[in-house]
Amino acid sequence: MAANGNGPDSQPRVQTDSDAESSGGILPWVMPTLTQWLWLVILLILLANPWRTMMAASDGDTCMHWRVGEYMLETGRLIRADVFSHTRYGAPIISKEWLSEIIFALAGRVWGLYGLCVVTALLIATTFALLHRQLVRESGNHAVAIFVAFLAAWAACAHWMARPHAFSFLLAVLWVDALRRFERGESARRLLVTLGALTLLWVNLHGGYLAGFITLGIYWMGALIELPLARADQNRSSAVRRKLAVLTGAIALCGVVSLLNPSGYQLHLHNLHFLRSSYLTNWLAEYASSDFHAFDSHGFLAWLALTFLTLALARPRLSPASALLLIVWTYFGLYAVRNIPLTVVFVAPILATALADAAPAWARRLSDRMRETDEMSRAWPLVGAVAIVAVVAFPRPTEMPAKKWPVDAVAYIHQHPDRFTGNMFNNYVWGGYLLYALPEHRVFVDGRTDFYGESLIRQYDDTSLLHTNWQQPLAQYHVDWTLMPVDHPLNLALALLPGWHCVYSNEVAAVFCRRP
Amino acid sequence: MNAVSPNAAARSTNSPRAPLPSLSAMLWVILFLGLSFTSARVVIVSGDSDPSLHRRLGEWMIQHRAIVGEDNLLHTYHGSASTMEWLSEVIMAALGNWLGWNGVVLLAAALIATCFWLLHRQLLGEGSDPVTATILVLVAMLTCSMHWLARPLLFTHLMTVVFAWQLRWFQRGRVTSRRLFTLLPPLMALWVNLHGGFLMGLILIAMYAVGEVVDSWSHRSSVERFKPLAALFVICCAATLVNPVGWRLPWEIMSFLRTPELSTLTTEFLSPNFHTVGMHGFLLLLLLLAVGLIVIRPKATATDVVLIGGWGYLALLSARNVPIFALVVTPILGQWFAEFTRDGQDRLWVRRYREWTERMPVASRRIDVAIMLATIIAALAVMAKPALAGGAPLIATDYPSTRYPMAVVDYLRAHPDAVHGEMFNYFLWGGYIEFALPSRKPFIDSRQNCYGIDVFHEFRTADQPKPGWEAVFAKYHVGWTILPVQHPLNRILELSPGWTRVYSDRLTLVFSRVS
Repeated sequence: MAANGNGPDSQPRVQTDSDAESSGGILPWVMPTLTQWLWLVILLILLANPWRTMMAASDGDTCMHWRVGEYMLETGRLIRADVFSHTRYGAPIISKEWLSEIIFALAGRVWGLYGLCVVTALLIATTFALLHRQLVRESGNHAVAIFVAFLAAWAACAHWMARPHAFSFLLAVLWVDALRRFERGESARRLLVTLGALTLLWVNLHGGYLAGFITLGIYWMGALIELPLARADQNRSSAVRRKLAVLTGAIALCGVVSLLNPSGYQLHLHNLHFLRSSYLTNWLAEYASSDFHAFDSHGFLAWLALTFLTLALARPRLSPASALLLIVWTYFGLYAVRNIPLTVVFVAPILATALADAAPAWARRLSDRMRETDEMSRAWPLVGAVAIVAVVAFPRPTEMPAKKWPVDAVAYIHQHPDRFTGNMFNNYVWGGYLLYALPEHRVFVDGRTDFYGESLIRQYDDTSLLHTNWQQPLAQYHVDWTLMPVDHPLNLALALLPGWHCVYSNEVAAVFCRRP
Repeated sequence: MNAVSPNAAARSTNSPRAPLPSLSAMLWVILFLGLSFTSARVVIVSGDSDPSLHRRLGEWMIQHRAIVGEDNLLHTYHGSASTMEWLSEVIMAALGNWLGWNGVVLLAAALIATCFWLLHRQLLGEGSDPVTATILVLVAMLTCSMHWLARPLLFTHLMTVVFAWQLRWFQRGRVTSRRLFTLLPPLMALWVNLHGGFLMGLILIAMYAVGEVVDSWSHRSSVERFKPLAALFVICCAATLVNPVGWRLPWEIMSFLRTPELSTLTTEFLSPNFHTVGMHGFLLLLLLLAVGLIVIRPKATATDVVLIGGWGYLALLSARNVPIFALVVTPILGQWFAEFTRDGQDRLWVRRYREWTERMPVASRRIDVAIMLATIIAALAVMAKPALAGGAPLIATDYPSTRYPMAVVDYLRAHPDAVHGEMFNYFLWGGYIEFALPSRKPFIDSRQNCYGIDVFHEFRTADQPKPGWEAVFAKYHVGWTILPVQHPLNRILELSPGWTRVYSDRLTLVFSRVS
């Protein structure tokens, strides 16, 4: 089998505009390209309910980021010390997502929670549209590209939430595209400029910038492995040496640029410190491995099947960098659910190129027909107009569902402010929501696990899991009232303590207060 | 299993014959002794409390000279008992009665060592060089070690190796269909009485049949091997009826697996958690698989694709299938690596490597048999010292008191009146209590296929605990609890006026109703 597009010397199969046949009539203006279809369909699905609500209300972090961003807009400065919790009030904050939080807050000022959903939907739709374009460009097969892009979207959709990590999806596509373009012969200068600019954005938008560094390191490692393999060929050897030098320069440049964030090098130390805590990474649900019994893991299962079948049946000849990228990111995807969207973004071009090389005749014919339609299309004004109409015209109210979140309990607390004067102990998952819904009260804990650190999370566990010292954190932090799920064991224990009584409960939450 | 590959045959004529055991036999001896005489033996019997449960059931059957029909171990469930593992339970109990936990350890160690001895021999027989075969078997051992527990599941691992080996060699024309029909159906009849995992054998046959059809279709050849495989599948299906409850056993297992709510209650039925050390072997195997596919780029047959894909899916679905995946996939990897070194003779390092491995001494089979027998006899002599010569055992095996409530059990034996009414117990201690304190019936053990989802939901209401726990206790007349110190229910009972603490140590708290 011939070397496919993942090999070091392969060239992209680009379809240029000059190849397009001009076509008259109205059809080109109303028939979007596959990329435009993909963008529009994902955008509309994400803006519609129930997905919109799922994006906003899957966990409390959406509200938390909005609230933090809003605080920065209100005060006109970056957040440097905690003002939201009573457990770590005043402690310095490493702000790793300040820019995305401000973007979310601006969107929230315009359209509330719906605004955050619009930003996220645009980010995700653009991510997969760009991915599809990259796949088309690299594989030259439209049928394969749309199939792989669809499967990538299916695998990633379990983690589509209105949170700053959506920026990481988009930046990852641009990042890997720049690296693959360089591998295929584009200029080193363009690579350095692109990666430098992306690094500057990424370190201020989301902590997932580490994924970019890992991927860059993999390409560097790939070049290093290639070096002895290319020894016999003088030209290839010098090309690999040059590649290695450029990638080394890119690592150095990105390393320096990554310091251009509000916390400087401390941002990196903070992130690495968090990732080294196995207690915290085992504690957080999104760091858990996939549960393949769950329906939302079926997409990733299909992705793994595609990966295996492509390697076993298409038998691609992969470059060392592509091979390492595929292995390392598949491992990361298996390790933690939250890595799956990045896994598919980084691996999709490798699979699409391999599949295109092995595509049967009927798939190539189908691709040709799709390409003709795509080249004829001039429908981007229509697609843009539909998107704008949809964003503006969709019914906007987006609420946290009262069946899952303590909406009524919060209303009760608002109605009786005199009863809730002391410190709160709250459910971890609800923390972000309470930042947004009860801004006048400071929480015990919220989704900023890296900020709270292992010791406070252990104290939270001591109380919420009723360990032998469960009352100690309540006393230490002068907790006067609790807001926990109605069937939580802590409520059973508090109900038996003479100093506490239940002041509110419904089918979602129970509120206990100390007796005066 | 007597066929020898051309490669192995060449080695046997060119290599010096040394008075040494083969690598396969040495692997068996090291594994058997390592598992029997190191601290691994404690993990084998106490990794979870199921070995106790199985031994208890086996003892009942030996005592009553009947297969258990009515379940009487729990106070929450009285109904028909599951008999899917009766034979292995009787074997475990017989060895346990003779040698105590040492006997159970010896059985488990022998099953595990034999499993990998066979796998190693299969790889050598298929043309792998001794070094590659040993490395691959070591990786398979690392992968399977997460389930090296003294449970009937070990019989399934052994049977899987035999079935996969015979089916693979049948596909390659090295085993006749006659041999397949004389060996596998009787083994299936044995398997169905040893462990519920016999379905793995049927799945393996079905996968080979499907692979055969696809291969024939893609090569435009006749499906000559499909018919015997289909017939074998039917005969093995019939063989599964040779058990104490006939068709009801496969039906019971299928019903259990079709109820995800029930079959995902225990950790081993859940998807693998790649954060844990136990999954490092699986990750290593997946890495080898990826390296094999990317570097060697083998021409995989449809059967290989079906086996890797099918068992890979089942392994990702349930951690307990990970060892089966390793046992089925390792020979395929062995073949890829063997072909790689054979086809890469033009590379200097490959040629040197092959010359080195072919110079390795070939051992005599008689020495293999002799050394394995000697090892068994020596191990038995050490383990059976109290039975043979009296006195204290040279090596004792028991549950660790740091993880199981042994001190409480001693206390309750000495003070039977300390608690009254029925027990509420920690889920992972159920089997241990059934064995160690047979006079008291636990609330729950790991046999959710017996007592069903309703009892489990009631257990969970009290275990978490949630509102309604008192109603569950009232329904089952729970008079006392035995739970780990940090268990949340202990905090509720400490604060409840109707309960008092009657026992505590560093591991366990026992609460009793105030009479």
